[in-house]
Amino acid sequence: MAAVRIPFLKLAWRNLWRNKRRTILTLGAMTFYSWMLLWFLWFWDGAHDGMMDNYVRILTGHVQIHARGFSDDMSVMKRIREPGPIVAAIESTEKVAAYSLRVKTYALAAAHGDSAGAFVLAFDPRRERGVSYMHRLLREGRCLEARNRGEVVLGYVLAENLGLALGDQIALMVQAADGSMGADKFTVVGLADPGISAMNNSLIMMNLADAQELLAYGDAVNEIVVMAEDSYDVARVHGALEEQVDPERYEVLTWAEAAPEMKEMIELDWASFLLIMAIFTAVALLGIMNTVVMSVFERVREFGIMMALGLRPGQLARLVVTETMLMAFVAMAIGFSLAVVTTWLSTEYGFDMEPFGAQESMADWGMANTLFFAKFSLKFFVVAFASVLGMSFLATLYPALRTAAMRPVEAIKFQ
Amino acid sequence: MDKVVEIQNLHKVYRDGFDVHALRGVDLDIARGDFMTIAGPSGSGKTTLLNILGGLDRPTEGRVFIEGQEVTAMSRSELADLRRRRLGFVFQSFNLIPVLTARENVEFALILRGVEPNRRRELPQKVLGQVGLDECMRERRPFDLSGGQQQRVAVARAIVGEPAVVLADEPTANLDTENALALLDLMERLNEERQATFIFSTHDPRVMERAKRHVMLRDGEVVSDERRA
Repeated sequence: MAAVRIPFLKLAWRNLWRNKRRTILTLGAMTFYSWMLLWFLWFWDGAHDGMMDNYVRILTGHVQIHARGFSDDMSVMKRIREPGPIVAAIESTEKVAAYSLRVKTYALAAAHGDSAGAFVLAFDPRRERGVSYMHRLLREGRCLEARNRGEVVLGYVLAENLGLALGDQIALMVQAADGSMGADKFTVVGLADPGISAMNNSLIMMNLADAQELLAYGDAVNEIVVMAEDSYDVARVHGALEEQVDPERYEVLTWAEAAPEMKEMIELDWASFLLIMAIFTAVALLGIMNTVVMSVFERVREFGIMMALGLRPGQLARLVVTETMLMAFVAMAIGFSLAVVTTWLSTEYGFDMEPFGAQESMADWGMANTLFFAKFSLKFFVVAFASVLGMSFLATLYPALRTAAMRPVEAIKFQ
Repeated sequence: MDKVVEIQNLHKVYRDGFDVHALRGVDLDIARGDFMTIAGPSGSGKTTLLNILGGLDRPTEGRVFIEGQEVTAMSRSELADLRRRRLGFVFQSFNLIPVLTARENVEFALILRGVEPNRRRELPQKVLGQVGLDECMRERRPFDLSGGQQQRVAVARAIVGEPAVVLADEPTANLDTENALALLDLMERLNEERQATFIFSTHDPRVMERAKRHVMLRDGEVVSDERRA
């Protein structure tokens, strides 16, 4: 006697095509579910990456290093007096894509008899291009150049408020690190639109050396921004840097720690997405379960005969499960292929969420971009694969258990 | 007597609001190679008795042994094993698996018995030949076969694994006379050639005429047990 190897796959496949219309409809629903789930996961992931990238490229970077306490109290006194050793540590850390030394401070800006509070962001333009999109925010004029001194680029609303145009002079007054008041005049060479209202009406960008002189900083800076090669590398880079700097003197923050509101927004967005997908999954599950139950009840008598032939209850349940899982695999093959195509398209050309009201919600977060790009990732492929399989298995569990619990004598008599 | 089936004090009560006594203390011994009918009017308990013999239903009281094994003490899985290894069934309404061809239906019974692939390929052809199913019909699915042809396949499926007992519940009820007689010829021949025990639940006189032994049930009790000379 050979081992009992029941041809479940052959039986299941033929059983599926007994009612072609029902199978095609169910397969269609499962394919649609598989496609939507994987595409949405890849798209949501890519969109969040894009939002985060926008955010960190304008504001925070992936990792920030400050003198301890600077993130709570942006005082000019809290500075990194000797950035050299920290820079050396950054340069020796793996997965670091770029870094930039910055000076940030508040200032009083004055021109044509008007004055306004301003936020000064100073950097070396050559280095800053690696970590931020500041150079892409130009609306008018030109960017800062490292070789030129005494130039500024203003948020365009601040320029309008002070009646400034390109080539005009603006006076800045700050509290310097030596206790004195630093003041100087700068020439407006560009107007920027960061897309964040708070920055539009207060941002002043200038060369790092100008700010260091204005604040009597010497070689000091008060922020070092580091970009990792990929968003997945942030934790690794953060951990490596935290180990290398003196925790008594410096704080090393991830973008999520520096701007927790953005992280919370992404988490909230994921939670809403998962809720919608859970409802979508429940509807799909009930639909499939209904189909499987119908198909089982049409064959009760046949199952009774199979039991009379000697099929065990567990083997009958396995047959029912195999039929649904077979459909799930076919649906995934088609649905996931479609998801790869639509994801590739939305990776290449992006997907504009403006018709879905994204502009308003993005503006709430100070962002103007509504064109998002999907992103392939193995992690979400595995999630989608497990979800479709899990959902299909759950949908078939009840009918399979009912089948296994059938009594042969009743099943054979079933009309 | 080489007893293949032994039934001791079998009772079956259906409880559905009120009690219905389908079997009331049936005692019966069945010898290997018997070709017998269990007859009786509707509601006499013959189908219930056949179901309990086949391990498809459980008695309320009493014991059934098949080749010395107590069927009434078996678990569901053990009963499934018993059915696949020692019993063959022929039902009134053919009951083939619709997604399998005639040959595959017969082969399925061998798969369940764990028969080796080579024998699994040979045996169905041989047995389908014995039951008189043309070669061209063997690769057809049940809905492409006539009632008589389907019942021949059902018989082939029941006997292909050489079971100790073939249980046939009204096997000729849906067949015309010509097909019914041909089927009975076939089962009679198999009984003689293979010494397979056939137990028919029937009130079809065509079957009664051929049987070597008649057991009559009435109200769940054996009222007569006669052997044909």
